[in-house]
Amino acid sequence: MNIDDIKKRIRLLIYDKFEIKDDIGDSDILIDFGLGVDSVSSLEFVVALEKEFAMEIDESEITPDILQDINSVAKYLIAKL
Amino acid sequence: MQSPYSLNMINSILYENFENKKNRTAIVEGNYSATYSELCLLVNSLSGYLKNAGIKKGDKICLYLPNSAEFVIGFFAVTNIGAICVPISAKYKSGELRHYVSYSGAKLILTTSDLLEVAKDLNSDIQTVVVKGGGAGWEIGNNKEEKFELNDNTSQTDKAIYLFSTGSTGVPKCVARSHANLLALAENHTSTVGWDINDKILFVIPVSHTYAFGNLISSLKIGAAVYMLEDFNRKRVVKSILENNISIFPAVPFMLDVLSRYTPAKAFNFKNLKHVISAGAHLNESVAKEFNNCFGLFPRQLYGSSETGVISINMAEKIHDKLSSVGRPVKNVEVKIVDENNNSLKTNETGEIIVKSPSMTDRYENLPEESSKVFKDGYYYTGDLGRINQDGYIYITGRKKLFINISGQKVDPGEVENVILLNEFVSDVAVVGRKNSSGTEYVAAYIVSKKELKVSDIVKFCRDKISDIKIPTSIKFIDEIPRSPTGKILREKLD
Repeated sequence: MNIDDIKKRIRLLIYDKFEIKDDIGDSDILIDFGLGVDSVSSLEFVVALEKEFAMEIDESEITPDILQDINSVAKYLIAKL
Repeated sequence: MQSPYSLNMINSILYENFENKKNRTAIVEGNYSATYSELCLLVNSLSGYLKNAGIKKGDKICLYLPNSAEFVIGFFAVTNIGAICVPISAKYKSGELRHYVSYSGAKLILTTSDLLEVAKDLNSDIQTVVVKGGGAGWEIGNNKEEKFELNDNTSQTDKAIYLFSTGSTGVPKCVARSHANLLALAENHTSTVGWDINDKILFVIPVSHTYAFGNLISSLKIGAAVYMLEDFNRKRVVKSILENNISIFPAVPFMLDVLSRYTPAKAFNFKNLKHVISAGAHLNESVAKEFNNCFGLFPRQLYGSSETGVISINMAEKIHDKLSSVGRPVKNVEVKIVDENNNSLKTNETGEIIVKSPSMTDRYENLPEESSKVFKDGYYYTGDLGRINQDGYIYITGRKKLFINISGQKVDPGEVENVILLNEFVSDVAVVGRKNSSGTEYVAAYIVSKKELKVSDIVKFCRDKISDIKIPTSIKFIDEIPRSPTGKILREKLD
């Protein structure tokens, strides 16, 4: 899986799971769309990523920088996969 | 052994444990643990420190602390002087802390080195004492106390704690609970749930909040061991449950939902868990069933409030057909359902839930008008809607109050609106609760702006003023907030 595939899946997950209708670019700030504003929404996003990519994520590793945009999420996932 | 001191104060539960359970584990936090004997000596030590700092009976002391041994020690040290404990969420930002300190008239804050910067940001001459982390003014490791003495000048009607209730007025309401209220809470709760000295109880939910605080006091009353975790982290929760043979786990529905979806946890059988408690928000039956599928036991719903303490808990033997119920009232608590004219309703008729309990307060501090609306004839009018079935089981069906419930944490839309309105480029705002596809509620804001703003402008603006949980996760810019002729926001007209 290359990074473009991962970004595409993250974007689709955000549209589907979080019911976001706006277009989200790779470097758009995700909190602008309500993702990762607080601990509950961050963990919901992490749980959705775990399911989508069939992997385990330790939420204590998840900093605001990682959830900043699709680029940073994809970079984190690539390193874990 | 009969205590030589007043059994009227909440600290009498410690005295009894000091005498009878001295070598049993009282509290565990990471690698640190203390027996009941050690806990009592630490309480005496911190009480002495506070007295030397000038704290006297009736003074208010803020506990700006996360879940920790120091929170427990701090609570009993403060109440042992006859002072009043004011727990404040460690997630709160300086603006929120300032409000609670000012509102309560606190003289001193107990906090951690990590939170000191926030506390210092108050720009007030209030004393701040670090009790955890580097540079502590008082710390567990330096304790040399060898005796435990109970203060005996406290009466049962003296206030022991200030808790705060979220409403829709923009300002949290202060609830004072007396020593007698807390003793009744611990007695009624433990008599109903049947916990015992061998129980090990995990606290991940914040003990500064009434739900966890009530469970904490009950745990210590029976001489059980309490385990503290600062934050909810799935891996650490699972590890703690397994390694510490946790038997009681108070949680909120969101935690149970994500644990059920956490693949590494499904490999384990939590065989020592006997009660998983769910409170703070409605537990969907699907989440309860999935939790049972994964871990072999159904969560039991508990119902309570800052004003009353624990009201009911679902202890049904055959719980599978009563999963949505918050159970029957705990010992000595009376629950009725009334209509808008205050007439008692019959079995299964839906109306407002009203409660009479020896653990409840009878007013909001300094708010006589607000108090008279909800404390009437010895009952507290909860603002929750519900029914009681033929077996006495309570079902909550809705609420009259206008607040947003995010995984058990109540958010006042008025408070969020007031903060957003501080932005010079915002001319009007309305905040409402919405539910996502998982049923979790979130904060949504509708904003009329004076110039083009981005969502991130608002999020950043809120970030250092209110805790993250209160920051809207959905923000829409609209031309006008729908209002009634009297100026009331017509929230139902916001899509």
